[in-house]
Amino acid sequence: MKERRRPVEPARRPMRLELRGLAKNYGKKQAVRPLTTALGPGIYGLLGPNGAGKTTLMTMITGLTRPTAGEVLCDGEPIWRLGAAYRSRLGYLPQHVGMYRNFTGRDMLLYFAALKGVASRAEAKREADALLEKVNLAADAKRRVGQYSGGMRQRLGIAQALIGSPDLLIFDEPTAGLDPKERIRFKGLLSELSETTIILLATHIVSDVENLAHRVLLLREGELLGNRTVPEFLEEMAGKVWTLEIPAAQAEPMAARFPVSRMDYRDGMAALRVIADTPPAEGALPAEPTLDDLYIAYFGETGGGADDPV
Amino acid sequence: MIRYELKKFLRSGMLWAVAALFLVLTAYWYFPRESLRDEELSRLYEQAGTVLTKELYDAVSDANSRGQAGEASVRIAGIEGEYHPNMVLGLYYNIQNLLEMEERRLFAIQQADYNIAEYEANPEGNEYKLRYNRLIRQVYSERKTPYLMDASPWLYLFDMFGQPSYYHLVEAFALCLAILGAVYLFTADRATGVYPVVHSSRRGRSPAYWARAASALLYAAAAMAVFFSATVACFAVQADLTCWLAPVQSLYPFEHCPLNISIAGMLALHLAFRLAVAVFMAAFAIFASCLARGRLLSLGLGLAGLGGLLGSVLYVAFHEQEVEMVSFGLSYKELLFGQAFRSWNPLCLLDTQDYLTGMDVADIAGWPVFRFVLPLLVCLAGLAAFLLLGWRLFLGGSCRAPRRAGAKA
Repeated sequence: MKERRRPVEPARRPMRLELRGLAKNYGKKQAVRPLTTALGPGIYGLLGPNGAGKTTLMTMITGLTRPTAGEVLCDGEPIWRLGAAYRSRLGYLPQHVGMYRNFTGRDMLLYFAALKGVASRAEAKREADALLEKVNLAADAKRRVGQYSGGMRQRLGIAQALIGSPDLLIFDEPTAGLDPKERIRFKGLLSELSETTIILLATHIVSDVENLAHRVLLLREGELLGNRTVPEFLEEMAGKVWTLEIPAAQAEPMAARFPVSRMDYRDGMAALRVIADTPPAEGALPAEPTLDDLYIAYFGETGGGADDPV
Repeated sequence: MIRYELKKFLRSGMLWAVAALFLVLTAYWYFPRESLRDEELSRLYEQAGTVLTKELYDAVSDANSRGQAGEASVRIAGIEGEYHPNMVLGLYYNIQNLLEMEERRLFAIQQADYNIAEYEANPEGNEYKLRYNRLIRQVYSERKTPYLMDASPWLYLFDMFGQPSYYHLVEAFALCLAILGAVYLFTADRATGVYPVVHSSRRGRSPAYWARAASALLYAAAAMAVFFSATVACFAVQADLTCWLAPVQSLYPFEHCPLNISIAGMLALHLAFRLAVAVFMAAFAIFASCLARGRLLSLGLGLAGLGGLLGSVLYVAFHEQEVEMVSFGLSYKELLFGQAFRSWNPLCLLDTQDYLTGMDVADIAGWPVFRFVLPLLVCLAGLAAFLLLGWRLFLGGSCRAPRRAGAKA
C-alpha cells in the first residue's frame, strides 16, 4: 500500500513582536502608559502586582482590546491589519480559563482546533491526543469538563493554547491551580518551546519567572519599568540586601522602617531579609539578591509563591 | 465548525428538557380526544371514487331522493352496501358543490376574458386591471379537477392551523425554542468565560459567527419542523387523512386559492411559512444576543420581540375579522395603515390560510402581487438585516486600528 506522505511545511521564521507607544486609558485612568519594547523568541516574565496592567497589556497584544494609542506590530505589520493571519500564530491562556461544561476534554480541544483552523479532522485528533498526553489529561479526556477540577481545567487551557504550534504564546497566571508536579511539567514544556516561540508569562508568582524567564518586564501602575534579563535586574540590587536575626518583638518596627522580603519566626527570634542601601542594624550580613528582593524593592509587597520550593 | 456548534445544542440538558416539555404539551393540546374516523363514511367515499361521473351523479341523486323520502338505509347503484340517508345527503351536497365550483370557475374565466378584451381596447389607466384579470384567467384555467372526497378530517386540521388565539400555541412553543437556542449559543462564550480564547483565535470571529448563525437557524427550523410534524402526526392518529395529492381546491375553504397545488403542497406551504418565521425569530434572537451579550437580557429581548409580534397577529385576527379578507388590490395607503400588520408582520404568515383562501393581492407598482409575498419579503429581509447587524456587533471594535494610530496617549 502506498504510504501517504504528509506535506512538508516550510520552516517558519520566528516572530518578532514590537509594542510601539502602546497605551490604554479607561476614562481618566491610565491602565497602560505608553509602552515601547520589542520581543523575540524566548520567555518573558511580565511581573507586577495586581492592577499593574498586565492583563490589559496582554489583551491588547492578543487583539481583544483596542489600544487608546500606539500599536502592536508583528514582523513589522500592525496586528489589526493582519487580522486572522496574526491570530493564527497566537496561543492565549487568559487568567480565568473558560470551557463548555457539557463538552468532554477532547471535544474542547477539537473545537479549539477547528477555531484555530487546523487543516483536517484527523490532524486535529492527532494533535489533541498528543497535547492531552503532554498535560497529563489523557486518562480524563472523555470526561465532561464540568467534572474537572480547577487544576485540570487549567491544564486543558494550557493544552488549547498550544494547538497549532503558535509562534506567540501568552499565558496569564498559568500556574494558578496547578500542583507542584504539574508546575514542573509546565515549566519543562515552556523551556522546550522557548527557542522558536515568544512566550509571554504574566504572573505575580516571582519564582515562576526567576526559574524560567530569559527576560523580565516589570510593570507598575501601567508603566514599564524595564525589559532586562534577571541578572541585569539583580545587578542593581547588589549590596542592598541584608539578612539579620533580631528578637521577635523588634521585627515589626524593623519592617515598618525598611522593605522586608522575608520574615521567619523561630524560638523567640525573627530572621529577616531586609532591603536597604546601608546595613539596617548591627549584625546585618550582606546577601545575594533574588528576584523576590527586587519585587519588594519595586512594589513594596511580597510576591506570591515566595515559599515555593521550585 | 457547524458540527461543534450543533453539539452544544445536543449536549444541553436544559434545551432538551424544555423541548420535551413543549412536545408533551403539544401532544396533550392537539391530540383529538375522540377518534374522528368514520368507517362507514370512509367506505362510501372509497367506493364512490375521486372522479365525478354522470353515472355516479345519477346514482347518488336517485339514492338521495329515496333517502329523503324515508328509506331507513339506502343503496346506491354501483356502490356496495347500504348507507344512512344523512350520509348519502352529505355525498349529494358534496357533488353539488363540485358542480357549482366548476360553474363558478368557468364563469370567472368568462368574466376575465371579457374584462381582458375591454381593457386591451382601453389600456390607458387600466394596466393593473388588465394584469389582474390575466392573472385570474391563468389561475382558473390551469386549475385541476377537484376530487370527490371526505374532506372533513382535512378541514378540521386546516381549521386548527387557522385558529389564531387557541391554536398558535404550538408555533409559540417552537418559536420560544428557536429563541432559546439562539440565545444559548450566542451568549455561551461570555457566560462560560471562553470568549477571550475564541475571539483571539484565527477563525473565532467571522467564521465562528456564521457557523453559529447557521447552527441557530438550523436548530430553529428543526424545532419548528418537529413541532409541526408532531401536530399533524397527532391528528393523523385519530383521523383518516387521505387523498394527499388531491388539488387543494377539493377543500371548500380553498376553492379560490390562487395556487394550483395539492393538499400535500398546501401542508408543505404551511410548513414553509412557519420555517421562514422560525429562522426570522432566530435571527432576531441572534441580534439581541450580540447586542445585549448577557444571557437573561438577551432572552428577555427575544421573548419580548416574540410577544409583541404574536400580539399583533392576535390583533389582526380579532380586529380584522370584520374586514374584507380578500382584496382586489390593496392600495399603498391600505397596505401601510389600514392593514399594515397583515401585510408586513412576518408572524402573520402563521395565519397562512388567510392569505390563500382567495385572490388576496396588493397593487405594487401596477402589478398584482399576492399579499403573502409581502410579509415573506419582510421575513427574508429581516433575516438578512438581523444577521448582518449581529455580525457587526459580534466582531465589536477589538482588532481594529487604535483610536489614534501612532499617536501618543
